[in-house]
Amino acid sequence: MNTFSDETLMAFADDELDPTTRAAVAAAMRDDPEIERRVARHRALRAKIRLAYSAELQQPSPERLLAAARGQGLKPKATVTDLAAVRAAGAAGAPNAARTAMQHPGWRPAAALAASVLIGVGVGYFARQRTDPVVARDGGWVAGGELAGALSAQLGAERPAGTAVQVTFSFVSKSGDYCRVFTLTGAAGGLACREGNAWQIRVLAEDEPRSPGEAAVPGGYRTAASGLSTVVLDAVQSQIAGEPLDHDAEIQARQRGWRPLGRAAPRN
Amino acid sequence: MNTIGRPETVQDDIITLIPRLRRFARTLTRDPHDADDVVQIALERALTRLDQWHRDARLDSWLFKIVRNAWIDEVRSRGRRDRMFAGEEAGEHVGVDAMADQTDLMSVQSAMARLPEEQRTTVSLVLVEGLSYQEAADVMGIPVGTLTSRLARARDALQALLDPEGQR
Repeated sequence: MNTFSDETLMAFADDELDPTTRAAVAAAMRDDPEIERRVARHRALRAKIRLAYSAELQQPSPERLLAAARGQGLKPKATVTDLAAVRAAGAAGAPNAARTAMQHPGWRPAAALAASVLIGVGVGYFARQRTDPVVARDGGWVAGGELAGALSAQLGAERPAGTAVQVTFSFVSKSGDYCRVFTLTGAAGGLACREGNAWQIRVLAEDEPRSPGEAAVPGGYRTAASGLSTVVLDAVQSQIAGEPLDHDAEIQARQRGWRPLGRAAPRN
Repeated sequence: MNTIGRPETVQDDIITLIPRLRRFARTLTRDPHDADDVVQIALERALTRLDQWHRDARLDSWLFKIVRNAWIDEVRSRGRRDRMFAGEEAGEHVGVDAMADQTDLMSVQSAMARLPEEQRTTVSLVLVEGLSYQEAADVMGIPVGTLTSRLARARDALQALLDPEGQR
């Protein structure tokens, strides 16, 4: 009776054997139920694993990955601030960074990846804030403090006195989420989208003030957006579905708590 | 937008592969957020290196390799590779521990998550993504014999986790 190693039987099940060995295994399977059983076991495991992972292919691709594949990534425009590096610098004694690190004990190293959305925002910016406008969560970044409150409550046309946040306009993204463009006084502008119960920060970038009257973007988001960095506007252009929301649509969205309209429950 | 001077069809092909890249990256990273970050980095790299892709090579294999390298770079930069990845040795005993207290059937995903990274990657490339042994070995930069023995060990461990009653 032929004896075959388990690796050989596995390779037979995976159709990886040369024709001679394959024929020998096939012949042995006919003679020896034990060999047949071992091959069947390998095949069953292969099928089970393949099936278990098949559902993941049904999930829609996030807009940021589609944009990256189209060459519309956000990187080339400005220096990417790696917050993990900032944190490390803090530990080494840089004064601003150190203070930032102190304020964010929860920042975990995994956040370094997600930090690629934070573009050109200096360490000093975070150090100036009384409350954290941006906090790490689950490997991403969400709005916190005054920024979170403003994103949920402020309408685009409003500019309440004494607030550091101005929401400039809102839109529905291609993935169906409500997104809002905002500026933080004297520091940064960004794009946040409502996902779950939080405002996920998609982009946060240092202001690049434009000369008065310069069109912000070919599509024309007018003066409301004219102080925004091009990286923010590029992100808007790649993610927006249709037109920015008008005043009434913003009110309706706010009443619904910025939950997506008419979208199937997220798959996971 | 076509910034790379290549036919847009390649970019379209890459876009259709995103779900598989995410699936592969999730197996690697065991965290969906990290996985998407790794895929984003990989996509950005891939676009800058399209001239390195040979048209007779499988686009998916080439992208899997870039995803894996992006993850390795990321882990290395975090400086916690040793902590995160059990070695091959540890992986060989994983099934024994699980059998001791495991009564319910374990899901394939949670069984996979218990494997060492190199075995997870091997299973993902061959059994999930359907690459040949040679193609998977090329993605991982190892000889095909190493890949085969790794795959056999991974299967043993998965079999023990998923079907503790089954005898060889």
